[in-house]
Amino acid sequence: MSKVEEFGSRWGLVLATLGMAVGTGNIWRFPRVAATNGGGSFLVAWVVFLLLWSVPLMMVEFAFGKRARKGTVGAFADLAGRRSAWMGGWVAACAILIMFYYSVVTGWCLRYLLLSLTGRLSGEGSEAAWTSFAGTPAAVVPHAAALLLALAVVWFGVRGIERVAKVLIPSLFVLVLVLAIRAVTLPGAGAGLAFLFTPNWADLANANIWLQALTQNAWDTGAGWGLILTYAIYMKAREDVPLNAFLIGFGNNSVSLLAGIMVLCTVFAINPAAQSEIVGAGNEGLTFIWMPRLFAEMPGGAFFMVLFFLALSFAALTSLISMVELATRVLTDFGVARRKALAWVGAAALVVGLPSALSLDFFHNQDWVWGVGLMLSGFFFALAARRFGLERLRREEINGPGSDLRVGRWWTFLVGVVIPVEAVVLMAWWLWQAREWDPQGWLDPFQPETAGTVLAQAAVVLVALFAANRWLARRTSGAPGAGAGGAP
Amino acid sequence: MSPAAWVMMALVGGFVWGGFLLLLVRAVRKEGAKTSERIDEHPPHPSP
Repeated sequence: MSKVEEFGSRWGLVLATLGMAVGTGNIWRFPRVAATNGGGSFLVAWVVFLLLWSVPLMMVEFAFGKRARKGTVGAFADLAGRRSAWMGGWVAACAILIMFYYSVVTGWCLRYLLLSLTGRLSGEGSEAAWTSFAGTPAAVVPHAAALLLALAVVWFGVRGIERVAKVLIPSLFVLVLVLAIRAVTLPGAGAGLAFLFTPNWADLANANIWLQALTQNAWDTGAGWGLILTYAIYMKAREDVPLNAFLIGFGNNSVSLLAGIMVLCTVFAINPAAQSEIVGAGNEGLTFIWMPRLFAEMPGGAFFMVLFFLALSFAALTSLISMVELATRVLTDFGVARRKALAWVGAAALVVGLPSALSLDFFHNQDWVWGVGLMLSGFFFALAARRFGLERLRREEINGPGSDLRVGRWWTFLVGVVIPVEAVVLMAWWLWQAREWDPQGWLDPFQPETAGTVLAQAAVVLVALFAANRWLARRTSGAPGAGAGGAP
Repeated sequence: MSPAAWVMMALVGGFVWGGFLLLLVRAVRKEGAKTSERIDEHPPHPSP
């Protein structure tokens, strides 16, 4: 990999970043969450938080990556001060810990793509197929295969990522569009559209709707994860920040909306009586048990099932690639040669991902803990931007050379005030939710989905990073690949 | 579908998909203009 590697064009950057943003959360979570949280009312809140969380945070990430030309640890140390390296470490740790189980998710998608391609996925046997696969040794090979695919792409550097994104992301858009068109043309699909879009204005007074909409934006746009920062390292010097951030936020949510239409119209057209059971079946239940059943009853369903799992696999793989790149980049900032770093990342992901492949309880625990952790990552980005100087970041990077849009002081207010408040409220709300799920054992750190397990695991990571802050800052300043972005 | 659902679909779909298309068109135009500037600054075939 050359020292000054960069994306070949703006479209390479935009497509790779869209690939990062569009993941399984768009296809398997958004339709469920929209359906169970008031449909049209939820959509209003979801659009609001696209503008109040995702897009402003994406601008921070783009600006940080472009300015520092380092991964999260080095960028935080350089731009927010050396005492902030641990916060960049937290952002990296969350994304890497998610990568460990996300390769398992990508493996599931690839396995189901293979099953659907070979005609071995039947509607009536879908539940048995899932329960005999997920959380068993059979899930290890797909996990390893997914990881190998991602490693192979990242091996070729940012140009490899760009080339793959240029094929997979336009294909993904076309696949989701075709599936959505097929779904809305099914008899009875109108009920699905009505379910998704009918507003209940009273729901807008329900705080839970807003918090679910904010969570969906925090989880499925990738804002605040450090992944955009990582790709922004390879932006051209005179590349735009704000228009790209808007483009990716709106592009991501466009796919989510299409996926919502696709899933809910299919559900209501094929099996309206079971709609509550289907949308309440969880991400995996909806995707790997119910979707095969629904496709089995749809005319031409075998073909559309292949397209569905192809879209899901593309979405998952392009997100996994960005996580592997983030981990690799952080290590290279520590002075590890890029390909050696990639080998370490691959080996660690293979081993640490095994418990998630072998146990759904462990998988759900990690998904829960680091999902909440991401909200703290968003908070840290806002805090780091404040430490750097919000006005300075806006003036020099966001509205800097190459900018295609002028961003006003509204951005400063959002990042300086609104996003930190959103992050704190969101974390507190999720931990409070956990208390309601299990009033007796909500602080038990050994249960999969309790507040206690979040607090315990987060505390271990935070204490370790805080203790290592000086070392983190020292190792990432002046590391190979440190760009000329310039510390303040 | 009720009229309210149609209106909501038009508003949300128009905002999200319409917004995405408008942003895409704007980015294409801006990128085209930047490419033209670069060609003007460094013509591929210098005039004699």
